[in-house]
Amino acid sequence: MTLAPDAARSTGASRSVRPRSWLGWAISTDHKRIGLLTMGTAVVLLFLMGILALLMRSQLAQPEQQVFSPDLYNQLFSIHGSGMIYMVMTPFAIGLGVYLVPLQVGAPAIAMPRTTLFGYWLYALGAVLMLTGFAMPTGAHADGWFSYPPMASSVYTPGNGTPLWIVGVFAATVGSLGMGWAVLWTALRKRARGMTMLRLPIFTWSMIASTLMVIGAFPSLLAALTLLAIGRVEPSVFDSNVWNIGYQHLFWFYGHPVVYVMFFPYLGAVGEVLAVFSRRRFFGYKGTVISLLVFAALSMSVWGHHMFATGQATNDYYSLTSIALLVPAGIEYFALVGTVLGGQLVFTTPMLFALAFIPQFLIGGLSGIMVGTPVIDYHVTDSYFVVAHLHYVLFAGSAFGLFAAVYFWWPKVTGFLLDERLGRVHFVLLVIGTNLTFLPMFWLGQFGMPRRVATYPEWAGFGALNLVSSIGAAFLAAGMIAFAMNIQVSFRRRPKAPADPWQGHSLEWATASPPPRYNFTPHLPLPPITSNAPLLDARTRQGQGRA
Amino acid sequence: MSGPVTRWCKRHPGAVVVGGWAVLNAVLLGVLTGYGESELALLLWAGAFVLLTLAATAVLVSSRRGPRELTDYGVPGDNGAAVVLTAFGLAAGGLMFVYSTWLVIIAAPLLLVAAVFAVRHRGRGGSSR
Repeated sequence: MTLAPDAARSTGASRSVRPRSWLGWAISTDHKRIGLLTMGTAVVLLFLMGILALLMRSQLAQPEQQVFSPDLYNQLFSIHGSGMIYMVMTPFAIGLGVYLVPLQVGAPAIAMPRTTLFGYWLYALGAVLMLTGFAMPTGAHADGWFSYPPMASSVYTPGNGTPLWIVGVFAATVGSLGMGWAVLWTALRKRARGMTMLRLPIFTWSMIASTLMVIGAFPSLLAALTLLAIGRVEPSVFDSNVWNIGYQHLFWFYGHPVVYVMFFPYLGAVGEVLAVFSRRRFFGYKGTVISLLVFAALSMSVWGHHMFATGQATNDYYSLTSIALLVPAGIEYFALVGTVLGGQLVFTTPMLFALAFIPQFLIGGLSGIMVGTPVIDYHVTDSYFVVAHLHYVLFAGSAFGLFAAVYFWWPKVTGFLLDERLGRVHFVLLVIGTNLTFLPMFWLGQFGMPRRVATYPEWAGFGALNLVSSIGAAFLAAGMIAFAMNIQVSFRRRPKAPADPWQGHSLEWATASPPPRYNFTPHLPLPPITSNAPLLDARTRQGQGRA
Repeated sequence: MSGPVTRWCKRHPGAVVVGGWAVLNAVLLGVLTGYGESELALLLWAGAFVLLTLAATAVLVSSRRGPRELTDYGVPGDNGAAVVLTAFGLAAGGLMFVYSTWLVIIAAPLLLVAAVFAVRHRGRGGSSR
């Protein structure tokens, strides 16, 4: 691999800015820095959104509590939901791709680095704008993360909270689109010699599937937000039901695929972690690659199941495609379990998170099939059952994948190790907290508790289950404190991490920790790329050579 | 098993992935059409199909230029000040929707400075991407 003269010019271009200064970070086109900025911003927002969730759970812990006014409660759940989806889980997933995909394909840089940097800043500014709503006299956005009109029109939700939300989400979505396109182009066109498509690591394939959905579906959200913005200026637009239902189509055409954008990268990360700590090759590689692409295409076809109860969607089709998702999902599950079975398992913290991902996401997935069936959906729509389902998908599933990824790649990214004992404390508290918080919500929904209510009467009988759920939230908070402590301890003690502390399989483990500016150097060259696990191949060859 | 189609696919695997995925979407859209879904929903998905086809075409065009990009390409300079300023300028411009057009006095200078930075950077030989 040869670097063209641009690499030499780059030092001249940035002569006036010290690379390690805050400004050096802010304007750097190094994909690793942009990826870290994106993931760092997302983690900070994860803590903020978690605090909003704790506030909500404190209100709901007992019946007829009035810790917050109903109006403020509406703002809390709206910003919590919007923040988690638009500003935490999606950007973190894409940020992980920005950091890892160039390394995994053996490229010295990401394609379109300026577009990527532009994307990060749009995302960061979008997050700030959305949160600024809390400083407005009328408060922040209060119409939920999908912000249906006519409720979200200026007639029913006056003030600047919703317009700030529109601008913020629009900016963050354009940013995600830019970063997603750069990641896709890198995987498709910037691969090192020998890195064929069927030698790409499973994480990179998960990013390809995700970014295809980003390109296909995210523009639809931009159209929906534009429609909402027009409706805020001219509310009579929403006098016609065509545009109310039209908004729902536009929104959910984005809103369902984004769930998989928030899931596939974490699935890919879990796949890598399971293979490395089972000391085995990823099982069913080709089948998983095909299933990821089919899964992604099917996920573009199910958006109407969010509209079953409107009577304005073709329920038969959307139900059929929703249930058909079981086939590729089943193949992926088979691959994950097949990777672990018969392996020499090493129970490190990332492995624990990856193993917990399997059954927990299964609950989210199977309850998704339930709500993808119109007869069940009519019963549980807009109830806590749906809240339980989406949190099992996005927290019990994706967030566990996120933490598996953080613990797995932290030594590579920082050059330091995380504390295993604190990691296990984090894991145990999160498993207990997750299931205590979200499992009771299935019963609450089944018994008729609607979502998005600021309180509930004592006679409804929801008190005990809500109390359990709120106690679970306290466990989650304790787990996140353990996580924060672990990060702090790692930065303070700086226990040095070797280049490959886990015996990794993919190319990022062949370079230094943290990797140099252009990833691979003459001193840290690319190893021969012979499969989707080139480092495992090299170790196997060495073992055979010794034998 | 090495007919011209197979050889073409092997030469342009990236375009095959994106194009194939677009075709998969088109098939599912075709099935939805049979179920009598509203025109709005069909147009929406057709629009996404067009976008994906454009993306596949872009990958194909890049791929037809040869494999040079795969092994030997320029890495850009480390100074993205222009795009950061552009992001701030556009965010300020977006806020005109919330706070009226007076924000142009913030957005326009930011975008102007960003343009100057970009031109100067290009003048020094930096990449424009």
